[in-house]
Amino acid sequence: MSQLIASSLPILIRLAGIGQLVLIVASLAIPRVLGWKEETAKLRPLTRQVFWTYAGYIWAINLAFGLLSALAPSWLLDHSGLAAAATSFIGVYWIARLVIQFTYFDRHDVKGRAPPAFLIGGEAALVGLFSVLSLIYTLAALWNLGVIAA
Amino acid sequence: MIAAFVSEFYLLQIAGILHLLVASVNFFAPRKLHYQDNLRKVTPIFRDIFVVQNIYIVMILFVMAGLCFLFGDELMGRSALGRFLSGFMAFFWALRVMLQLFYYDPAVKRQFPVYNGLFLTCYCYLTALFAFLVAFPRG
Repeated sequence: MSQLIASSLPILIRLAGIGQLVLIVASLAIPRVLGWKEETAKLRPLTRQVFWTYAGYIWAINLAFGLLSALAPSWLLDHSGLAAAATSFIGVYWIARLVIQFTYFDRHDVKGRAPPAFLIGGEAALVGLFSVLSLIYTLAALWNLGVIAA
Repeated sequence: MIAAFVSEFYLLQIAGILHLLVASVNFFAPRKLHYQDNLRKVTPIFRDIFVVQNIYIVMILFVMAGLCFLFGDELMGRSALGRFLSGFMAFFWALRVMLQLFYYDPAVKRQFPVYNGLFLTCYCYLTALFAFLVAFPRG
């Protein structure tokens, strides 16, 4: 089993990267679906600017994760301390996002903003993606830490 | 050459401290910028997203500080991943400089000129350092 995981990790990381790149393209629709323009108009200028800045930065961070994973998976699997730290952090990043989706976000607000099938399908796709990303980067971290050996 | 290497090491330690200082600002910003009053006007989901974004940015800043303290060799170019991360941080802070200069509310910047100056100096330092590390790797 360890050997199977170890041999699959490069392709899994690359697929995770592609998944994140698809996510950042799809997430361009989120401001419109959730009405961010109308919501941010209610805020003071600086708070509004902070919101858009942070949203942009998180988008850029997801882009960086995606590009790194899709184009150079070997950099994340070289058993170095930095690779272990990077894959551990990315794993925690997506695990936290998954937990937040179920325990923190008030999803009742979203009803009515788009067709129910779109919302349900969209959330299912997001949760599925977050779960897969969490698993892949956790496995990669365990590989880098030597817990999973070839 | 050894002296240059050692100085880059200390410059990275300073960068790590600056990351922590910038992260700490996010703990004071909610009261200073009246987030609670602002967020009463928006829907709960939007409020949740705003809070989560703030937490994630603080987390990222702590991680970047950790990279500076613990992986200086790699950030200086000993590994391709380290050089990539230096490049990302150079982009991160260069963008932040642009936002501070051209996007953030001028009235607030006039109201807090010292903070504005300090932030700008910090962001310029971080941009210059990481851009230098990418351009002149020690690997």
